[in-house]
Formats: sequence, C-alpha cells, structure tokens
Amino acid sequence: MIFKRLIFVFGLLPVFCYSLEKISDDDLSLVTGQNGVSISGELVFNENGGPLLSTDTGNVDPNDGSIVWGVCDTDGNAVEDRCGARLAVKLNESGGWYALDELKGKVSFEGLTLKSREIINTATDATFGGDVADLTVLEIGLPNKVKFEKFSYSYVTSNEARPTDAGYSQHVRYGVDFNGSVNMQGNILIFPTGNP
Amino acid sequence: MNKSYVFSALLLSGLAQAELVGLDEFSLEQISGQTGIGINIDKIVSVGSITYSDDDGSSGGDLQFQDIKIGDPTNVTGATAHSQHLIDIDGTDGLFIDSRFEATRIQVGGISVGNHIGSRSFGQFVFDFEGTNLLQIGNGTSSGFLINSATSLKNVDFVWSTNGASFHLDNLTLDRTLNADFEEKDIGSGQTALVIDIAKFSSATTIGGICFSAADCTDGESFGSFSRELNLINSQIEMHGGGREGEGITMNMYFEFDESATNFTSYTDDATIKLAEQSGNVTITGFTFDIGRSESLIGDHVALQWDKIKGDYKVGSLEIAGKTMGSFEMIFDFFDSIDGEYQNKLLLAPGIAFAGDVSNTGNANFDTFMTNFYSKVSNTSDGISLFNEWNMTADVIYTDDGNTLRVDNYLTYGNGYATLDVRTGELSIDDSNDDTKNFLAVGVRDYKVNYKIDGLRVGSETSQLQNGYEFLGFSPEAQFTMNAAIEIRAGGAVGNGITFDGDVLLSDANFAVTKTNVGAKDVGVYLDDASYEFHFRDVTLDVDNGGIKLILGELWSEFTVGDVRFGDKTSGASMGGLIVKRYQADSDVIISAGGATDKCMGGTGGDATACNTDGGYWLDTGSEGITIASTQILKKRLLTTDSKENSVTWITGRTVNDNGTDADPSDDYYEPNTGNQLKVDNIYTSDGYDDTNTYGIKSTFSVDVAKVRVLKKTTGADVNLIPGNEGDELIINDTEPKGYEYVLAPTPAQQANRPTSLVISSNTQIKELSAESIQLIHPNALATPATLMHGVKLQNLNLTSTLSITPIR
Repeated sequence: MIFKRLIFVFGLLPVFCYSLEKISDDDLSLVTGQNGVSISGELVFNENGGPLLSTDTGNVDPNDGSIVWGVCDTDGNAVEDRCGARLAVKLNESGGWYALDELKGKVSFEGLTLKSREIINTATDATFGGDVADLTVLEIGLPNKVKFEKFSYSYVTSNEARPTDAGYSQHVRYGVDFNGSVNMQGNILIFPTGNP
Repeated sequence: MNKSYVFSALLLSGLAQAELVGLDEFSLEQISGQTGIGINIDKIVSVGSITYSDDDGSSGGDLQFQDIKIGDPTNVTGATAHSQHLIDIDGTDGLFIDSRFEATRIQVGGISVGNHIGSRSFGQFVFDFEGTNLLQIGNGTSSGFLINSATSLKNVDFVWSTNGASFHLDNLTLDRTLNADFEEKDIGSGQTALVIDIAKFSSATTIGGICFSAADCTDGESFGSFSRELNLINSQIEMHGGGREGEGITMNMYFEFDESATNFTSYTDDATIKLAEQSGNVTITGFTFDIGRSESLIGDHVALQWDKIKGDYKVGSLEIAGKTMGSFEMIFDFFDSIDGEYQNKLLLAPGIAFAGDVSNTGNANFDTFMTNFYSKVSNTSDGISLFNEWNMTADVIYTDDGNTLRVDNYLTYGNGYATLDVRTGELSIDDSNDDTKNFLAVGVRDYKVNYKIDGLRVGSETSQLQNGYEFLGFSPEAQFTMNAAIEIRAGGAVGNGITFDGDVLLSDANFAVTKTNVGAKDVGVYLDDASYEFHFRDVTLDVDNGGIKLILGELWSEFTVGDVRFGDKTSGASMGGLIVKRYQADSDVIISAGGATDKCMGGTGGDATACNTDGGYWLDTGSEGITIASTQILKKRLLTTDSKENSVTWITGRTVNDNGTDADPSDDYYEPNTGNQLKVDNIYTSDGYDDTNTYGIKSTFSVDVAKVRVLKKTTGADVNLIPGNEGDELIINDTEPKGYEYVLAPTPAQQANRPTSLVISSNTQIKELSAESIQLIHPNALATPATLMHGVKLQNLNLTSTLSITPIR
C-alpha cells in the first residue's frame, strides 16, 4: 500500500520539465526496453453525486437555509444545489478562494502508455538538440482518443472555502460542459534536471 | 537392519513408552484381547536431562533436554499416567501393538544448546494428550519392514512458556495414518541410510484455540481455531549420519500431495479463511541438522541448513468467508547463491540474544523504541534467537476465473536476526495495554532483504512481459534493512482474533517505482537512500462474513527518500528528496474475495448488446478476484510542535559533501538543512462541515484478470512486427508473445480471444480533504516558511475508475 501512496504522491508533485514530441523511427530505434504498460479505462466523477448527503447535519446554505449538497439525477444535474466535487485553494492569507466547482462526468480512453525510456544521444541524432546528456525519462504516451461524456465543471471564486460556511458567496467565472472526443498524439516525458 | 533405525521408526510411527511396571489384578481384568500379551503401565517418570551431542572435538556441541517429567496432567510429579498395550504376533501380518493412553503429560523444563546450557533456554514445554495408537510391523516389500500405524489423539494441549508467560495451543485433535517401508540402504562410501518409502500418509489436525495462557483458552481471548488435512503419497525420507560439519544428521526428502484426497488449511474466527484444494510436491536435498558453535551474535546454536528445496505448491481455491479469490501457485527453488554469499540456513539459539542492548540503527528516534523493547528482558531470559539466511527464486501464479497473472522470476535473498519470546502484559511497549494480557514478542534485528521481479505475464507463461505492478502498489525491486519490535496478542476487535502493536524501521533502502529492462541493465524510477519508520498501536485482525478486517488503531510513520532517481537505481539523475509523514487513527482495511462487477467499457449500456451498440465492449470480470476496501482517517496536527502529522515535502538544491573523497561519489552525502523545500503541510480529512473526522478517505480497490479490448494506436507494424491499422482490435490467435493479429471488425468468435489483462477497478470517496498550507522553506529560514497557498480543500469527491493494463505492443 505504501508504494501506491508514494506513486500517488509522486504524481502530485510538479514536474521539472515536460514536452510533447512525436517519436521518430530513429528515436524508436534507440528504445531498447520493451516493458511498460498500455492502459485503457475510464474515470467517472460523481456519477450519482458525492458522499456529502442532503441529510447531513450542517448541510444548509447559510444565506437561505436550503440544502446544499445532494445527489445528481440521471442526466448528471444536481437535484439539490450541488452534487459535484469541489477543489478550492486560497492563495492569499486575507483573500478569497479559487475553486474548480461542480466537477462531474466521465472520461474514457484507450491506449495510454506508461514506461521508463532511456534516451541516448548519438552523433547523428541528438535528442532535444543535444541540449541534454543521455537520460532516462518517464514516458507517458497519450491515448489516440479521449472520450468525454457529460463532463463538466465551473471555475469560481468565493469568499469562503465551503459552500456551507457562514456568509458564503461565489461568482462563476466560466463553466465547461463537455461531450465528445479529443484526438491526441505524442507523449509527455518527465525527467529530472537541475540541482537535486 | 540397524536396530537404531528400528527404534527411530517406532518413534516416528507411534509413541514411545517408558518404564515397565507390574500389572495388578484389576488392570488385567480390563484387557479383553486373548491372543497376545496385555500390558498396563502406570507411570510417573522424572529424568534430569537427556543430551544429544554431535561434538567431535573440532565441531558440534550438545543439545540438552532438561527436567523431563511424565505423569498425569493434573499432577505430573504425583499422579500416574495410565496406558494399556495389547501385543500380538501374527505369522502373516507381523507384530501388532494396540495402545490406549489415558490423559498423559510430557513436560520439559528447558531445552538449551552448547554454552547456553545452565544460563538460558528455549523455554519450558508441556504436551498433554490422550488417545490410541495401532502399530503393525510386518515384512516390507523389500528387505526392510512395513509399518502401518493409526494414531488418534484428543484433548491435546501444547504449552510453550518463557519469562512467566505461556503460549498455548489448546484442545487439539490429531489423527494420523501411515503406510511406509523402512529399509536400510547402502549409499556408498561405506555408509548406510535409513530410507522410509511412504506409500501413504494421512493427517487431520484441529486446534480449538490459541492463546497466551497456561489455562484453557477462553472465547474472546483466542486467535480463533485452525484445521488442517494433509494427505501424501509416494513420498520418501532418506536419513543418514553426518551433518554439514562433522557429526550430525543429513536428510533428503520428497513429499507429494495426494490429489485424490482433501488437502486444506483453515483459520476460523467469526468466519473462515480456507486454503483449499492444495496440491504439489517438494524435493528437499541435503537438509542437515547440526549443533553449531559461536555464531557472532547468537552464540552456540542448532543449525538447520539445506542445499536445495525445490517444489510446486498450489492452493486451488483461496476462500474467505465462503467466497473464492481464485487459485494461487508458487513454483519455488531455494538454492545457495552462485557466489556462495547467500546460503539457506536457519540457526536457532536459546534466550534473547539482544536483551538489554542499546539499539544503534542510525535513526535516534526509532532507537528509543527498539532499546525499550529489549530493555524488558535480560540475558538470562528464555526465548528463541535465530539467524536466517536465504536465496530463492520463484514464479507466483494467480488464476482468476481461468485467467492467469504470473509474477515472473521473483528472486529474493538476504539474512538477519530475530527473537521470539512470550512476555507478561506489563512488559508491553504500549503502556495503555492491559497488563493482564500476555503476548508474543517478536524482535527483528538487521534483517537485510533483497528482492526483484522481471515483471508480470498476463494470460500465459509465454505472454509478453509487462509492468502493471505499479497499480497493485508493490515495488518490482527493493533492498532494505529491517529492524522491528512487534507484539502479538490474542483477541481481536470483536471476540477472537489477533491484535498487534509494533515499531518498524526499513533503512538503507532502495525501492523501484517502475523499471524497464534495456538489455544488460534496468532503468526506471527509483526511491534511493530511503528510510521508512513506521509505528502502529492496537491494530486488530478479525475474520467475519465481510472478509478479513483490520482495524488500524493508531498509525504514524515517516518515509524519507534521499533521491528520486531516473535511470540507474543508485546513480541515476535525481529530482531531489522526499519526506512523507502519515498520521492516522481508527482507519480500517477489509480484504474480501470476489472482484469488480461486470460493466460496459468505452461506452454506455446495461448489457453486452447495448454496450456494443454504443461503441463500447462488455467487461466480464467473473465471480473471482480480490477486493480491498479501506477507510483512511487522516488526523489533523493540532499543535505545530506535534511530531505526528500528514505532510509531503519535496527538497532540492542541497549542498553535496564529498566526504573528503572528491573522486569517489559513492560516499557523498547531502549537508543537512541545505535544500529548498516545498511542503504540503498538515493534510487531514474531515466530514465536510467542521473538523469532525469520522468519514476519512473511503476506497474500494478490486483486482481481476479478464479479457479486454485493445485497439492499435498507430498504423503500421508494432514492436513485435505484427502489422495493423490504427483502431484495429488485437485478437490472440496463437501462443504469445507474437501469436496475435489486428482485426478491423472482429467476429464474436474472435472477440472471445481478446487478450487477457490485469483489470483494476476502484472507487474513492472523500467528504473533505484539506491541506492547511503549501509552504516554501528556505534553508536559512527553516522556522519561518513562506506560504505559497493558505489552504487547499477538496470536497465531495466520488471517483470511480476502471483500468485495464496490457503490455505495450
């Protein structure tokens, strides 16, 4: 279990450098490792709502006393005020909160790859224009197609962290409602640089 | 036939008796057999000591059994134990001895070795039993003896005591039958061996309770009950004189499960864990028994060593609470490493070798726990000290609904010390524990563990090697040194079960997160120069109809990583260091059989037809599989001075000290407090409206092996030179790794041959997860961090994921 958590933690960290690139045949010829994995699957956010329930003590709007958190209906709409996930951050000690609000929906993909890859610069093929020495990268190969179904969220600013906090108010800056597919190509390389 | 072998055979096949006494008239009346001799024995036996010695002057030593007593269990020194024996000789079938034993106790006051004799022992042992034994000795199929025996014992108790406390196997029943030829054979070099050809051996054992009391185990104060049935056929034991050094005993053995009979092991609490349908065989070569001298830390000892143990062990059905996870198989081979550095051995010495020692692991915080653990016993305390060394390879195969997942070429080697003793409750490392609850104390000292796997093969033995272990939460390669102090008590959270307290340190560690083989070497992402300090209190294990339930009491830990390396595991480029601190209370984990439910992948639909119509495919995960459900309640750090917290710190820009050897980077180290830190501080869960914290992070994690749809990513030949177009589906048509094709529109028959995949399904629910701040910490201002974010709050997350993991082709 510890490793899973470590990997999770590792995934949370900002990366030093990333770039999109299409692997040429020459590049492929330098890749000798055949391990790694191809991952297909789906992520579903708050399909029927989250664990905060309309029956929870304290689950009321501080301004009008209505229920705040509840379930989503079959179309993904909130039956009460909200049913999606919310991630809020506070950048200034005396300021308000920026939040991704009402995050819900489904994302599916096929063929995301993950592997360690060794890149060896040669005289005739210098990766990154020869700016870096031989290196090992963690390569995330993007899936060809990512399918979104009823995927939506809003970007909001608010004066308090929780919608149930006293005096809570928010402004929706923009909202995203996404159905359809995105075609992708290339990969993301993650590798260390600088002074550890 | 060597008479000593006959004596050994009698010992192995039945029970030895001692001290003949005259029969009184009453006893004679009880004997109904009329064709042989009837003997009644009423015995009180007291023996000062029995010593086995393989001391030949230059090697070996003494193994001494002290203060042996046999008598009635209620008063072993004052009341006789009674037994009856009918002896008959038949011209055709040979000698019969039909015995009945009334309640009898065999008690050993101490067992010790070499220079430990007189100062400390393995402890005191009591064996109570009653029952019957039928022994027949006739002409064998060759030149030896044929022995048939049937032993049935009940009301059996085994008690091991040290330091005023006892470990008790209570209310056992033992039933054994043996059909074997005993023969003396010439094995060359002027030596003969006893060869026991076991045509059939059957054994059934039940243990009513296991507890830490000399008295009978009581409900709620026991581990639970155990059951075991074992049937062997066509097995053999060959035994001859001479050990690894000078005198001693050497054995070569082969055992084979009788697959026509029932073989299982089960543990029952409120529900049962059962390792059913066991099968396989094991060959043991060069197993030796010696008395060894002067091991550097445990001194004189009993030495058990083996040249090779090779076998195949299969559990056809691993069941929890009546549901099966699937089957497990382990094909293993213990052998000495080629360079001879690691051999397979177990050395056992009496007493607690590290009693009173001041721990010196290099981690001062952990040392206080370890020193305290060994301060509670002395150098005259009884117990078991051991040194273990091993070198082994194995393949481990899990089969879920007929689909296999193989952990390929697992290699492990290492060595280290451990101690075992039973202690009274007031000696606990946790002052809050009940003083009246005695416990098993397990100490681990400098246990050096190394292991690696090549990867996973999903589907068959010839499937393409792949990663995927990252998603199962284990490292494919690791080295670490383990020190630990662990206490084990009887009784769980509810009724019977097991309770644990402990402090564990893994140091000098290197863990692979992911790796890829590139010819002669592996490259990957590694956690180098790592240390994991882990503490747990009041962790309970119970089994009920929901599965194996662990209530995690209080946990706190600190995991430090010197370098997160990309490339080589010890010299690859580093992205800096990490410190991960955890602090939880009242978390739990439930492990149950059965995986995820069937579902539509890549589309929407309630059944296969609707799913296909929507462009998806129906994922059939079957009935078997593994599911782990957990609740993690992350505790909030209330005071900045508290050491227990949940936080993640990333450190870079440290100053390297070359340790005075500029040309040798291997001994370089980072100057303390020289890096810049990014810290996610004081992470905690709560219930969404205030700091009430009962919900935590609830997650359900299921593992299945099932057939999935895999689409080709690009047009052209893949890494195995199999051609296809983007979007074609991969269909297996022959033996892997290259036995597949890409098909534009597979027929239903072809869809049945989709590739097998590791399928991981999870659901995570969080009411509220907060981080108090994200800080930037400069080395010159450690006490006054700059706050990057003044709060992070995640609310109402309900994330469901299903991932199928296949090799890159």
